[in-house]
Amino acid sequence: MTLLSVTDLHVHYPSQGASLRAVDGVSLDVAAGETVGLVGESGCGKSSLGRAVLRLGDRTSGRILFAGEDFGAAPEGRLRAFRRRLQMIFQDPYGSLNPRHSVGDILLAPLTVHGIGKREERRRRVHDMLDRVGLPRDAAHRFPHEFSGGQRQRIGIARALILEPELVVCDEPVSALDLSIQAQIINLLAAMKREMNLSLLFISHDLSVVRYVADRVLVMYLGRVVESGPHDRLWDHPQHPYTRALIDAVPDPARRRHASPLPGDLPSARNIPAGCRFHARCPIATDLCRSVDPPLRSVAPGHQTACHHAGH
Amino acid sequence: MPKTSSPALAAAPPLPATANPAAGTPAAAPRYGRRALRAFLRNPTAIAGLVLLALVMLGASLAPLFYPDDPLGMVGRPLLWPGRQWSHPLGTDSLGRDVAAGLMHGARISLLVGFAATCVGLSLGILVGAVAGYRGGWLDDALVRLIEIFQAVPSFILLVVLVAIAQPSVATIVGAIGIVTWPTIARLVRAEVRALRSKDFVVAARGMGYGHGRIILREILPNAMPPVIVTSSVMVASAILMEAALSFMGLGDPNTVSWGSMIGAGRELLRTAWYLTALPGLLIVVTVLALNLIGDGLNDALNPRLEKDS
Amino acid sequence: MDPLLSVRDLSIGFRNGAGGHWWPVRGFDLTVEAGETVALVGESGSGKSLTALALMGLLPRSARVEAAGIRFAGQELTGLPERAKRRLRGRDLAMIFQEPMTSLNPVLTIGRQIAEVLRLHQGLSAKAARAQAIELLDLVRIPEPQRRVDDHPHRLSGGMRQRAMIAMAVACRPKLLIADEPTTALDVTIQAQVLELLDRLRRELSLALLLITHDLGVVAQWADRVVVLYAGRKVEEADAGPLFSDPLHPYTRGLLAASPRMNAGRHYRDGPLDEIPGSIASAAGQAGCPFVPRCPAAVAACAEAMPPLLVPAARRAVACPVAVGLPLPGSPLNSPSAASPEFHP
Repeated sequence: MTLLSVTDLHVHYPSQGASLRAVDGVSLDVAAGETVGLVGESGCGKSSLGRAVLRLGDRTSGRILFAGEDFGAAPEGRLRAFRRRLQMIFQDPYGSLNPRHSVGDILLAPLTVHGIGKREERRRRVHDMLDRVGLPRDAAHRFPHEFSGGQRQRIGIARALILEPELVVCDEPVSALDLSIQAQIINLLAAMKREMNLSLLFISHDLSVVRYVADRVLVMYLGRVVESGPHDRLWDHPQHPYTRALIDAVPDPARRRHASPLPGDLPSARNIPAGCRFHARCPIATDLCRSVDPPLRSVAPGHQTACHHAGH
Repeated sequence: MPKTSSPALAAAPPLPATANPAAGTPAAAPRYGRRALRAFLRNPTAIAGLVLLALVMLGASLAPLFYPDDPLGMVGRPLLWPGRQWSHPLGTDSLGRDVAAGLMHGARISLLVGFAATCVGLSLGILVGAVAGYRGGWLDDALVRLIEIFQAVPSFILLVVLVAIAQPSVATIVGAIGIVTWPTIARLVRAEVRALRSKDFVVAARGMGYGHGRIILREILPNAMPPVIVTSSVMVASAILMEAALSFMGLGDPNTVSWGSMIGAGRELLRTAWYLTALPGLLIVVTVLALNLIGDGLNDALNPRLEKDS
Repeated sequence: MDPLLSVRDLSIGFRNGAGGHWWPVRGFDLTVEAGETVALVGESGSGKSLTALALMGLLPRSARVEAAGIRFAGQELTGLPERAKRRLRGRDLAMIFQEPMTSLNPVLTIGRQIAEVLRLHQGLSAKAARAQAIELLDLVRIPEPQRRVDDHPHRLSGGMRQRAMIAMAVACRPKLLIADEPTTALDVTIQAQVLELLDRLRRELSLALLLITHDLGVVAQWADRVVVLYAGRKVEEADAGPLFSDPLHPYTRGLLAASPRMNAGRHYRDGPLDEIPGSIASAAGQAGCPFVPRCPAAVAACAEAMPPLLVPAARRAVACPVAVGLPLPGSPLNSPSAASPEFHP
């Protein structure tokens, strides 16, 4: 069953001259209980997309259906009911917690605002949630600055899950953490997902993390999805040259002292190249690519790519 | 490989309450407000300011005890120099009014006007600044224009005009000073709110479905307060100066004595009886200095240059 | 022949509130041979960046640096006058930082900044320095160096800025380049470009590279030798190949097992990643081995004194007797459920 369905989403920011097209026509579905990974480099629009999907950032156009209801068009007054079911986990464990509130307040406030339970019940739920994310109960009386980065991320996860949402957008949840902590948080997310039957939209620039956590993966480049597919297929048979380059760029002990880096920089989203937006960096670009923008097309069941030369 | 690594099931990992030692944070991390208070109380200049202000306040509160009569009443020989007569330790002015009584009662007016006007300015400024900064869009544009208009007019001239129109009294002076000082606060609050509005914890609050009022009052404003608190201590000082200047020009409340009006009255006798201007002038300097010292101390305590928060 | 750099028993201390010192780096030894790439690996709080800053003499005055000896290019650095040390820095010893935007002066063109270094250390004329700056930009593969030389840093992309930083660092042909997390702020595809550039410069300019990073993948691909730091202590040192195929210290083993990058092909539906419990903060005030609170193999003796570095094989060192099969007295410290059954010393 499709829980979240986004169709032709655009996020354009006005700027001098041409507008900045951060997200430029993205459609995606997240099924109930599924983890969809969204990978791409900084500036590809993945974070803008994640926030626009939750209506926490700007959106120029596009439909957002949540559980069959039109979340994208819901008036401000009706948002609160949706908010309870859709949550977000942030990258920065320092900036995403209000430094003036105790952890207990941070976790109680959502329950109060949504009128869940009586006082005793709320307290119980806060304690229960602290247990589940692996924090001691006395954490409730302490303030965010008393915790390490990994513990703060646990608090952020507790806050997102205390309303028992159905979908959680995770925006680079482990990128700011130390390696020895990353695995703890990834495991925690996976365990919570299983226990609470969550759907996740997992945004990351780190392919190896997405490879571990995602059932299905979307690869974004300059505001567009250039490839999407089931996780095993995508890693083993990448069709788009950009996906291939991303996989090759991951440092790998097997390729000692050797890299075949993709040339050039990510072009600006203000000035998107004509034709295929990847052609300037693409090793197999032809004249066709310079003039015609390839649409996403199916290359195998559930596997789509936006490349003229895929599958040949 | 099968390890009890599901953190939801496993015992909680060891959680040291201490901050990361490598980051150089102190072992015990008290909450922000208490930490700032401790830093403030360790600062000798801030303590000096606090002591001076406390002395002025003590004088003001003891005024009715020492001089229960109207300080504007004639009590002795005019132009009596300080130290000549025990009953009037600081002498009398040209109309035979007791200078010490004037100074103590004047302190009441100066402090009252200073703090009340700052409250008016703060309320207006925070309201306008928070709305403009949070709401953005056309309302922000309009409010910023309004702030600019107020700041384009020389504030003291505006103050004189306002007081002249409204008839001088303590209440109108307080209101008028509030009206000329709020734009500074509004600008400051707006900038802080705009910066905080895009912070992740505010986005998170929106994501939790919190109402706008709750987000502004509980999430944003407490974090925007430190610079406002620092500025307001200096605002009290400048309000005291404004009141003194108004009174000096004869635009003070005619029914009360104030430091400014005492200086104004003594102005013509500057050569012969300089103590009539010097004594209230000295008190103004001391009070303003005290408030500025407190402001500096607050600034150091609330906006530490090196936020050791990692 | 002498190694290019040899550091013996380096400790770095800062005053603590109680009037004493706390030591984020303790008893650290390091050697770097000419032309090799040595990686210093650790998480934040391991002291790896402090070590680099100490070598460069960039620590604040309040820091206390103690060492039995720091020899660089045949010269003893400890006790050298400040001026001589400064001359060495920027010429024979250069450093690049994680965030090129804050390390470059935003109001000067990149050409000016590179030329400045050349004029200071090599006494070139303004004209010659500019010509050399353009050559350097070409060397680090910045396209159209003639034009780019007059750009301000903010006009360059993150990858280009890092290249400009590198050009500045290698301007005087240093013998050792210290790179502190040079690619952490960059995207994967740009990261690969920069790492390849560093390795090419190492070969072409025959410099040695001290790579400071938390990224095990980068280390495995680019380093000759790896030094693993934990809470200010060296816990393991080995050539890259043996380290990754046969890690010895429980911390190194834990890190490799926990890394999704080192476990490509694992999926969450197949089971959780192995994890190291707790955090590095638990090392605070630990008398013995700093890893004891998180270690699956710790016994009572581990908590009493820091184990010495043992040499189980040529070119290997590990600060854990349990890891090399030496029996230690005392019962296991951490509960058996927390200890990985995979761990057999």
